[in-house]
Amino acid sequence: MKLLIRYVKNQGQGEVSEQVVLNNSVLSIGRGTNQNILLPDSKVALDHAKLFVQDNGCKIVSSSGKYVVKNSQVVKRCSLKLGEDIEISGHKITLLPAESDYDLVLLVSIGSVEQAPLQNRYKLSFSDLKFAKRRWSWTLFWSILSLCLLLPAAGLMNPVWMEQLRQSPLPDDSQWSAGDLIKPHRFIGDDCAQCHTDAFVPTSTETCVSCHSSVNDHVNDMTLSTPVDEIMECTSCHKEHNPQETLSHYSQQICIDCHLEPIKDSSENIKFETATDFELAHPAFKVSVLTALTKNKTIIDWQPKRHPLKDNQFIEESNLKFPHKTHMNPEGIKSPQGDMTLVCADCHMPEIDGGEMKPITMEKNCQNCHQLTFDMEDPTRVVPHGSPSDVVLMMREYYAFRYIYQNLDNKSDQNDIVNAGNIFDARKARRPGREKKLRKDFQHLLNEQTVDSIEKLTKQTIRSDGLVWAESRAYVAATDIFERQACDVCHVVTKNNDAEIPWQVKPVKLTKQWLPLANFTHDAHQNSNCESCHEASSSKVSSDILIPDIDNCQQCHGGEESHNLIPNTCIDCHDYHDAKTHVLGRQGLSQNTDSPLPQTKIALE
Amino acid sequence: MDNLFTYRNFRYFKLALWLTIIFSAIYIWHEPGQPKNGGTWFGYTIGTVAALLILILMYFGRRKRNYFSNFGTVKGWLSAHVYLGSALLILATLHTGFQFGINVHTLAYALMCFVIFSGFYGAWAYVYLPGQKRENLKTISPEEYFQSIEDFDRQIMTLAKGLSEKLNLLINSALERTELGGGLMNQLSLRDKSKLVVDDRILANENQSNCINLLVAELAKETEQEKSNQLKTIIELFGSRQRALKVLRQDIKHNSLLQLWLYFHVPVSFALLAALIAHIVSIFIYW
Repeated sequence: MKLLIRYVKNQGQGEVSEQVVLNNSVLSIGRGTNQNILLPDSKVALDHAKLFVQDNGCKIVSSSGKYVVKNSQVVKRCSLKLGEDIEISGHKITLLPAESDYDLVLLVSIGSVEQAPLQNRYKLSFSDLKFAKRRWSWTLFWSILSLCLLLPAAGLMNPVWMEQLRQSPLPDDSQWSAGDLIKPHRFIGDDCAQCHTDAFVPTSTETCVSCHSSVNDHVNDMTLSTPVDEIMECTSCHKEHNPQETLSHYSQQICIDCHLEPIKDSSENIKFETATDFELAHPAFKVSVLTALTKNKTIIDWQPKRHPLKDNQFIEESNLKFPHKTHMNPEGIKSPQGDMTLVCADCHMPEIDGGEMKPITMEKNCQNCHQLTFDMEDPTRVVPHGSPSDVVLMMREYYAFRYIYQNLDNKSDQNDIVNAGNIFDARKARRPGREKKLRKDFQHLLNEQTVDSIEKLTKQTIRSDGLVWAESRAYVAATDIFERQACDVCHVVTKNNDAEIPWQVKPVKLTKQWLPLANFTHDAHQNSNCESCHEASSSKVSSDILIPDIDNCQQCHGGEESHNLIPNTCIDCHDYHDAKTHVLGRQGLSQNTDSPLPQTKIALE
Repeated sequence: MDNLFTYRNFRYFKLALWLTIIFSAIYIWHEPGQPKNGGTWFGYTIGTVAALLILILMYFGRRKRNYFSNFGTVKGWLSAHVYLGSALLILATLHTGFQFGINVHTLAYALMCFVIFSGFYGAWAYVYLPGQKRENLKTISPEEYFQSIEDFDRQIMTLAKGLSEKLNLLINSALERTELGGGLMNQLSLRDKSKLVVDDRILANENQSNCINLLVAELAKETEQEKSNQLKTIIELFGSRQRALKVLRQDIKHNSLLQLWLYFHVPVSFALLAALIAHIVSIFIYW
């Protein structure tokens, strides 16, 4: 069999070819020089494969451990038809049809197979990584939408579902909470529907009032010149889910919105003057002074009267005589325990909440020095701090009693006013036992009738004697105590000789709450000296009003924006909801009769 | 020549700046009578503006594919995308009133921040990395580097034929087992995970240095002049190959960095869109 082997290889720009003629039916292929088809390449084995010529083609069998590539397939052995080719390490062997006088032509292209470029061996670019932007986008989109919106929203359809959702580890509607609830609302827990009753509907005032039923409106039953519609919802001021400890943001802007102009009542009288800033625009203080309401010169009630402090004309008519200056004498004042120097706190103690002062009472604050004695001989004996009739009655009883006991003591009292009864010694006559003996003695001298009449006369005389003595002593003592001593020192005492008890003491009523519209607390001002606000040590009369005006506060307190003073906003001193008149379970009852703090009722006129 | 930053004399930069300044001023000035938050009149306003901005910014991804659209130029859109996206960061922060928590609202904000900052990285990469890339390649294309490596390989293989079977195997395995690129971490790290085979053992060949060291050791033992010359040439060729591989590795890293951020930027922006919808709807469900 005559075979033509044609070698073709690239050289420079062109190709060179070389032909070898063989007369074999079996050809060896390899790198070795003894091979029939020589492939000069280190990647080819010395003896790589055998080629068996057959009818219309040939068969390739590789040596052990070697292979050939046919149609890009790695094979150990294969058959080759006319026109087909195989590759060995990039060298191509093609079987061509017979030509001229050769039975078979083999075209061996040395290094003709373009080896795949080096780039293709590696994953070199980012797109080779096959990341899927689009798939990730939609996966993230739908998972977040389902977990954060659709799933909790499904719970809204049915409260039972929502409860199941909250019990499960799946995300529930708590993820929608924009912030923690304030402490007093924490008991609501995760039950959003307690306040958010309807989806897509803002929380209403009705929802708040379902718990907070006793909260008063700020502008209760008032006709005001400024419309207040826009702040009538609770949620206009009270914002939940905000990171702070109070529900409301006490910005004075809320107040200024209305109080920029004076607030008038229905009859166009100014009820509240413009107040926009404590430091810059706040009206002077008005005090509420308890003032007597009289009818036929009799006090029937006490009502607070509002009065501006700046007038300096107004006085407190409490009917108490009390000079602070005398009591606060730094050199001390006389007392049963000797000279003592009083300080404010000896009399004035704050209530537990620090707002008002505890009431001043005779028993607690005055009596230690101002003892209600009336008889020099009996310095421990005092009259009650009560009505004049009680005082007079007590004195009469005292002197009557004393008359009896003085006489019974058988001590001749040289200063006795009454001597008329000394016909016989009445003191002895009253003694049992002695009476019999005396009677016996007299019976010797007088007949029975005479003795009886004398005895009767004597008894009457003694009785009227005692009465006259006791009454006159009581009158003297009462005149002394009412007009010169104890009572008159502190009280306004009037005299009407026609009356059964000629002395009347005007009732005393001390104003307890001077600034009822402000929440002043003494607790917060403990470090201040009392006198820095209340000029008591120079006050000679009790009618002086010792409440300081706003300029005193403004020494330390400034407006909301103040930098060098304590910044204060409206709500620091003023209640919005008038919370002090809380009803504490008295709902439905009239507040006029049941208010726990009746004196806080303020007449604004 | 306008680039995306200087487009039309900083038109969108100015727009973004004014938006930021005006809204920041209102934020500082306004007194809502409650803690500043997304629920005040200003909060709703700026929230609406921010939500619309997010939609506009996301539409850029659609617009850049509309090759036949005349609705602004893509460069203009990109310029607006970058500047308005930066402004969005501030506007949305003002919308929060600096109130954050573990909830869907803060989730939306956090996702938005992630998208914006990944966008900042993208903008930085588009500006900075091409220069780095050019500097690294030194006006030679990566293909040319590959061709030169192939060239070195061919020469090395030719020269290696004359050496001992052991060296031949070593050199061939070093060529065969040279690694380049690969998975994400391989593309991003410059580490060479190439290997070589010595005495049937696979050894690390980081930066081809192990191969070169072994060949140098062989060179020291070599006594034949011709073979030592051959070895020297092979070592030199490995050196050149090493440099080319280093350049290519750096180039692969640059290419990955230029694309990687977008694979976060886009999917997370869709996550943001979902969180934004959840945020808005949930706010009004529990008004």
